[in-house]
Amino acid sequence: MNSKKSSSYYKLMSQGIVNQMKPYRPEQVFVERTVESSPITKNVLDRLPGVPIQVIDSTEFLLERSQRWNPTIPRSKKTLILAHHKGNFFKPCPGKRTPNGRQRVCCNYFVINYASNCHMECSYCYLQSYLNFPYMTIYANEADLVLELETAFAQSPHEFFRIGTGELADSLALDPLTGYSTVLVEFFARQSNAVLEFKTKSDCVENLLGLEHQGKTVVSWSMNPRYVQEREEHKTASISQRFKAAGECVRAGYPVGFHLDPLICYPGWETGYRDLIEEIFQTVPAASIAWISLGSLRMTSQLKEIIRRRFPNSFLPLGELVPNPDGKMRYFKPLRVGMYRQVLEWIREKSPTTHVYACMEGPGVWREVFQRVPTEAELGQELIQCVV
Amino acid sequence: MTACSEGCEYSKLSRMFEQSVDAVKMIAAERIDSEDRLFAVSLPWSPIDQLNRSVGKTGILSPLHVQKTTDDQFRIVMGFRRYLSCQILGIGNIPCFVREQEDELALFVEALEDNLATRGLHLLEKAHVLLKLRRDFKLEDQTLMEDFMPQLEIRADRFHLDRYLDLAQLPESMQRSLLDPLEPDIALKLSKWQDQEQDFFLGITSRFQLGKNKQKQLFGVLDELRALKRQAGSPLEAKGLERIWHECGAADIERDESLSLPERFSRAFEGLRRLRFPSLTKHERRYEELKAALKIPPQIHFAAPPYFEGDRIDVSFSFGDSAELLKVAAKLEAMAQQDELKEILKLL
Repeated sequence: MNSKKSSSYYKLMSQGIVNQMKPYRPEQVFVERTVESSPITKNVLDRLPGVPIQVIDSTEFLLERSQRWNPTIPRSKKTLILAHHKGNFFKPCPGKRTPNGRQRVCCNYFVINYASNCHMECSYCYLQSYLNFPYMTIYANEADLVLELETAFAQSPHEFFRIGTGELADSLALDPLTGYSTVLVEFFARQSNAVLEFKTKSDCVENLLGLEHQGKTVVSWSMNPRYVQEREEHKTASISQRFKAAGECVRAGYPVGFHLDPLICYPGWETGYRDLIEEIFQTVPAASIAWISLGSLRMTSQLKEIIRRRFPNSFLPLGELVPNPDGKMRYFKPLRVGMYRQVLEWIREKSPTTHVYACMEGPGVWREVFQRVPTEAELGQELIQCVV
Repeated sequence: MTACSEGCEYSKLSRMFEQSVDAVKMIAAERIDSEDRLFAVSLPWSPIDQLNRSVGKTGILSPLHVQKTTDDQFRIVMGFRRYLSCQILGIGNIPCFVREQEDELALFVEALEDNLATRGLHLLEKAHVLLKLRRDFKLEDQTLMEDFMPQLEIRADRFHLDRYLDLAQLPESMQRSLLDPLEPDIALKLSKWQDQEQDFFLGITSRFQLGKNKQKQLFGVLDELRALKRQAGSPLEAKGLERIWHECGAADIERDESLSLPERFSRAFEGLRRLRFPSLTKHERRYEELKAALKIPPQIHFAAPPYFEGDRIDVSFSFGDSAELLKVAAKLEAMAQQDELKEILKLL
């Protein structure tokens, strides 16, 4: 796509006029020499005919280039890097590892990051203020990832791991290019003490449908009312497309999850979320739902600035957001507790037993919403029992 | 100032022309065209009171550098502020070096070096230098970043270059405000408002003599209220902010002469905050009412968590003897029985 088209698309997108997921196609691909022969690299390059490819020794010059030229976020995303991940793929979830972790009720979650950055454009996305390396990056040394997981699982045979892949990238949006899901679903199907969760706003489930998953992979969708999706979740799959994909996964036997996160307060939110919950249970039988999480809109002051600059029509930064002890702003507590309680009540009306939990919230909010404050071990165990 | 490398454009140019100076001549002020500001590094509205005092006392100690433009006309290469001082003080003949050098970029680079060697540049002056190098001398951004931004002590990247170029292109009224303590970030954001709204904001900052933090707070809340109005369907209008100012009672508070200026601002700001955060401020008001009803003595510190994020009240107290401690304990015990305290706890 040329830059003129891209810019007009962007304008229409910010006005909510176009509403469909855009398949990712970079303008340039850099491949680190050490992953040149990786199967993931091959998958990606095979699916990007005609895109200029350059093999490089290191990504350092790209970091330098980005610091010097400070390209815009959409511009940076036109560059795809197939890189060698040098650190650990496998980490505790940020809720666990931040200094204020103890002030939150954690769910003993782990993450693996095989990609960094996302070509979709949710106005509230924290990656906008979080990533130092602004380019789309796929870590193509998948053999190292698998080895690292095998070692971790073998070292703690009595521990059960719930692992997500959606921290620094959408879990599935790039799957049509990478085919990473095939590697992971089949690997997790063989594990006795681990379950994988894909979190996505895409409808890219085609690769999943024929796989032997053994129920060890949960496919989850981040969901919001159509009103929010159309205005704030640009370039993502529409809510209908997400539901269609969820239905396909249920038919393929996968447990599915839903993350009503971030919950967004807007005039008419009650109708929006009530209808959404109605649609969830119409599309997916309660027995196939592994869990539903709730989380409030949250942003740092830096992210708020970015949203106002990049998405001037977004209503999100204009909510009653107040600073929280963890440095992020959230809706004023009575507002968000009111939303949590109401949404929980609607879920309970549909399914009294589906496991619902709050993400990135403290004991006070938990007490008010769920009338209990589980420990990390308790909550982790409860969620594991939802899938095994 | 950081020295630039031997081979850089900046050094080469200044070395090439450093000897191209003639003897000092006295030139009549009217033969010097100060309107031609191609080589100016200072801004025409920079304050020169101190310089006036010095020139008034000792005259021009350091001659201006000028370039001949026609037979009897000159333009200034270095010394715009000194020339202005001479004008103010009525000095008719001004000592000048007449520069034979014709390369305009080289002369500008020399003027820049002269300024940097003798004083710190205001960020707006740096911004105008960059703009001039790009617009008038047609230098590439790469050259600006490599050769000039380090000399100007600006981080050499695209973000900072764009930011400085934007500053240099702000309306003059706002640039003048930047010489007062108007924050550059606010100025850049303010430039996106309509002229009348800008004037309204600058009027408040000047009437209340607001420092940088207060300016930032005020700008933040007004900018968001303005955006909220627009999202609620109100068209952007020049008098929109004035309407907000009246709507929240700030206009009446501003006229209340029984209050000091800081008190007036604080209350006016509170009015704006009520519009921006209706639930939070309502909660805060209720909390303050209940707290007042508890009649807490000054030696007991009683505080809800910031923004009510948390579920515990922080209480601390001081005492000087046992009797005082008993009194505090009795008060705390009495408070524990009061309905107002129970209601405060429900607010958390």
